[in-house]
Amino acid sequence: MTAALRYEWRRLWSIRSTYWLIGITFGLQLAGTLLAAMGTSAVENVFDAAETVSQIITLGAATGLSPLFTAYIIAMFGVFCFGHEYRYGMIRATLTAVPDRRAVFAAKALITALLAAVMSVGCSLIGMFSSLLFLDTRGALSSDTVWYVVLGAALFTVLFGLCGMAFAALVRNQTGALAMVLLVPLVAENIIALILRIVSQDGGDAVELAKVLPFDAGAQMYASSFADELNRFLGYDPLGAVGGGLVFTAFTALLVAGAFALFLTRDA
Amino acid sequence: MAVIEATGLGKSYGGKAAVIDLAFRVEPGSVTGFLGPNGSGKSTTMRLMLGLDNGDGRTTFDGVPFRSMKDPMRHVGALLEAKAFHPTRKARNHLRLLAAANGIPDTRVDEVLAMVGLHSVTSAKPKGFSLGMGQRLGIAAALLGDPHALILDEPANGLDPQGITWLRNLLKQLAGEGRSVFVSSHLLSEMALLADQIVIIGRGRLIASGAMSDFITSNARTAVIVRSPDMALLGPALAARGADAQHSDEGAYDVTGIEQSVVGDLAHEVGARLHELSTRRATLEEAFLDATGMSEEFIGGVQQRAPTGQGSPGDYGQQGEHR
Repeated sequence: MTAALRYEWRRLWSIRSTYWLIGITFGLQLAGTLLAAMGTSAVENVFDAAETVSQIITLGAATGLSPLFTAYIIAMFGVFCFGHEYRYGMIRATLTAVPDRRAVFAAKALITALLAAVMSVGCSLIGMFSSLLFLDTRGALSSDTVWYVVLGAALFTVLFGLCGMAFAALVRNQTGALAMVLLVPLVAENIIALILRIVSQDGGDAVELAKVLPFDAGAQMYASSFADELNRFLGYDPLGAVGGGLVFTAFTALLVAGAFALFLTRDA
Repeated sequence: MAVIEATGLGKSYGGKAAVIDLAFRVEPGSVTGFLGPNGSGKSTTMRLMLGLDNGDGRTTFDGVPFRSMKDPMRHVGALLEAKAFHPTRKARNHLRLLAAANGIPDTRVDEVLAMVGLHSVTSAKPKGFSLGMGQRLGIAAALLGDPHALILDEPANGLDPQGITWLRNLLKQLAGEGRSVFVSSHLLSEMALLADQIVIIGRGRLIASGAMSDFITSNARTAVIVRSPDMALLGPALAARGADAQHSDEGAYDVTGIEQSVVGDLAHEVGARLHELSTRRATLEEAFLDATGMSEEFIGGVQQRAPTGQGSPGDYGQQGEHR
């Protein structure tokens, strides 16, 4: 296992995409959170400090109205860890250097998860820094509300990164996996949710199924109190942070398990 | 030093057998050429040997399967395809990556890059490499762990004549150091110069294996050439020894099934004059073509076109019959 970890670690840091993905993620997070904090500072006496910091560090995703932008970029690390292997024919070189496929897969999953967690927390810290520059939010930084959002966003990003890795291992095509990372949560789930709502218009309860759409459910992990109020106003009762987190974790586990099983049995 | 032993190798794709119950042995201190027509299963066999493809059978290196090895690149070096690297990962970093997994020091990376002649492009991105440079990088990767055994799939592809000569000398030197070298190639003339032993397959089955010299000598095209005005005396004597004499176009006889020296002794015994007594050895190509005659997977065909220039483009190109 240590051989596979050494290999994967060096693989990660010996390609340019690692550096530009980190740069893009942190750069856009810094620019976005600075703009958000600056914009909020123009509004007088209207904010709950903890709620505001939560919205800034997630660039509004904690409202439940927009996706967690940084998670989509970070998930590309997951896609690339298998995508590059198949796109450039490296998989055979990898498996002649480390023939233990279980170790290769585990090392990729571990490093993807670790990197996603560190990057997500890094993004949250950037958001806190931006809010401090323009807003009096120092007190909010010690509130549970903010740190639950930080933790939830990190967990969501880790699981999302593992989904990206599993998509790439399943389809063995980098472009296809990138498309799935974007299309499944942003398009497919919304279409399914819309269909369920239409079906339920005449009093059915099919709309309840929308609660277990995995990426939507997972987003509850970093939803703020504003999102709860908004959902109540709209008459929607999602699973909540724990329930949604469990649904998304189960979905990710199934996806990763399927990818693992196929990786062990397929020809390289 | 590693003895490579493959037994019962088998692989099917969609119900079609690509490799069937293949067994052979590669001895240390030799270069073993792996020959077969296109689509005969050579690359599949090599992937099976390294556990990259799932199939039947077992391959061991001094009794140990590749997948069970710790630091496998220290025992077995492999080149399976050209240009199997990330286009923007520098050549040196590509090798450092492989070295990291096998406990190989980075100093060895520079050694093998110098060995394959890529010392001037260690910091270059391989996306600009020619096929030959890509092959050299792949060979460097195979040599990285200073392994006892080498498995190389078409390593001469893309190399220029100087590169091919370099590769031949390198592989002979490595075999001379007691390593087992198993190498496939389509270049039969090159293989004739390189290999001591051969394994020939056709349609996934073993056709021949053993010493290269025995394979060529046993081919029907190897014959003793006899030119004599006294064939009336010599012919029956040859027949009595079980030899077969066929009249050739140039007034000589091609005699098979008997050594040249024995023919000379017989001629002396029966008082036959000899104007020519020599041995024509089959080339590896002739022997290979005879051995694999009905084992080609893909057969090309070209129709004759009228020299009047009135034929249509469709007159060519009946290639690719699939049997």
